[in-house]
Amino acid sequence: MRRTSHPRLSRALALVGLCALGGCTDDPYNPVPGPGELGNGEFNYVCLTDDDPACPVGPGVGNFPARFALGGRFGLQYDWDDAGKPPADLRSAAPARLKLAGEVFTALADGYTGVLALRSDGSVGDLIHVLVSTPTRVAVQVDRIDYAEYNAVAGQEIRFHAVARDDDAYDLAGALEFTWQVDDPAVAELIGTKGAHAFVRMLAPGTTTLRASLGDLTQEATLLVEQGAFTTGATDGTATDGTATDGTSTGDGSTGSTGSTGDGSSGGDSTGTTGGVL
Amino acid sequence: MKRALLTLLATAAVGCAPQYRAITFQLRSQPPHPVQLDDEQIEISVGVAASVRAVLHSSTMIEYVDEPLDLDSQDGDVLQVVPGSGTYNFVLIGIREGETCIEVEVDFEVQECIPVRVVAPPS
Repeated sequence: MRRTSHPRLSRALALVGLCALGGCTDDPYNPVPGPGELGNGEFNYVCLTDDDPACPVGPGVGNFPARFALGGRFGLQYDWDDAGKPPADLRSAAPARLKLAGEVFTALADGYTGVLALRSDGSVGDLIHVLVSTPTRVAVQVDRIDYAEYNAVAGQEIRFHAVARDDDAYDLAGALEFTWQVDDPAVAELIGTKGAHAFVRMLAPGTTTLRASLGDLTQEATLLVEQGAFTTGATDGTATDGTATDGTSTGDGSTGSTGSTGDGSSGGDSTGTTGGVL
Repeated sequence: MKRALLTLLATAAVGCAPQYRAITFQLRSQPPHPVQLDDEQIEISVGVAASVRAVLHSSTMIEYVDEPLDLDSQDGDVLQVVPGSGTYNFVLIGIREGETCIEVEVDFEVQECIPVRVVAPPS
């Protein structure tokens, strides 16, 4: 099924996704920790980058993931229920499967591996198991919504995001290095990539393909670039004139689509999704 | 007469202290894969850490309370045993597939070595 951009629905779905991940209470983002299996405290997941699916609002503490990406990098912290205890020293139960260097864990083997929270005397005070899974597919997203086809207008700069998933459609946590490519540099150009992100500038009307790769896995997204309005001053995503700007603003996709058609939809059904299960 | 008295004293001394008969384990955590903890064989999956409580069984009327107990893996590349918090609590960790045994040392005396098999995680 191909997905095309649809700004209002996309925004709503993104909000729903964020609510599902973090809970929509008084605190807009309240990460869920992983309970220690011995019941003495909680393990917190720490995103090392702003493109880790476990941290929808950027680096820092995120929801404790159901599954981790093979090769993914992440941090963990532990909080004793008894706050008076000295901080726990975290250790991988099997370093050949889950490497710990400094404070960065790297998942090296599929399956469960224990993480130990050690007391100051070296005894195990608590533990948790992380489940590592091999990525089998990649999704290309904007604002955490999958797109196989993305509508934009010349002059826009869009931040694309790649997510690794396994066979069960889980979004896999951990920092990963993707490679990005645009087929036709006359239509769109990569102006920067980092980790799971790519910034793409739409140059001229036409169609091209954006590719995100992780090892042997590749996902394509068709970029449909139209001549259209895109202004930096619009705050509600609605273009105010019919002239394309020089592309110095960073669009979010919904803005660009709005500019191209007036109502935000430039064709195709809108079936945005927040992606896999985290 | 003297020999009989010594025998009696020795018997009385033994009766006042626990005598090792066996060790059993109780699981304290819920590992993601089953861990087998029977008297004669321990089986655990690679990557799994299982918190266990050791129970020492005495052949005399006197039970073990807090006598020193140490569990040592004979091959730390296959299985590791890490002390847990609390008396007789330990964490068993499957490192890689293989077989080894856990040496049971009670009151600074080695009593037995319990066979351990570390298996691949179930697919």
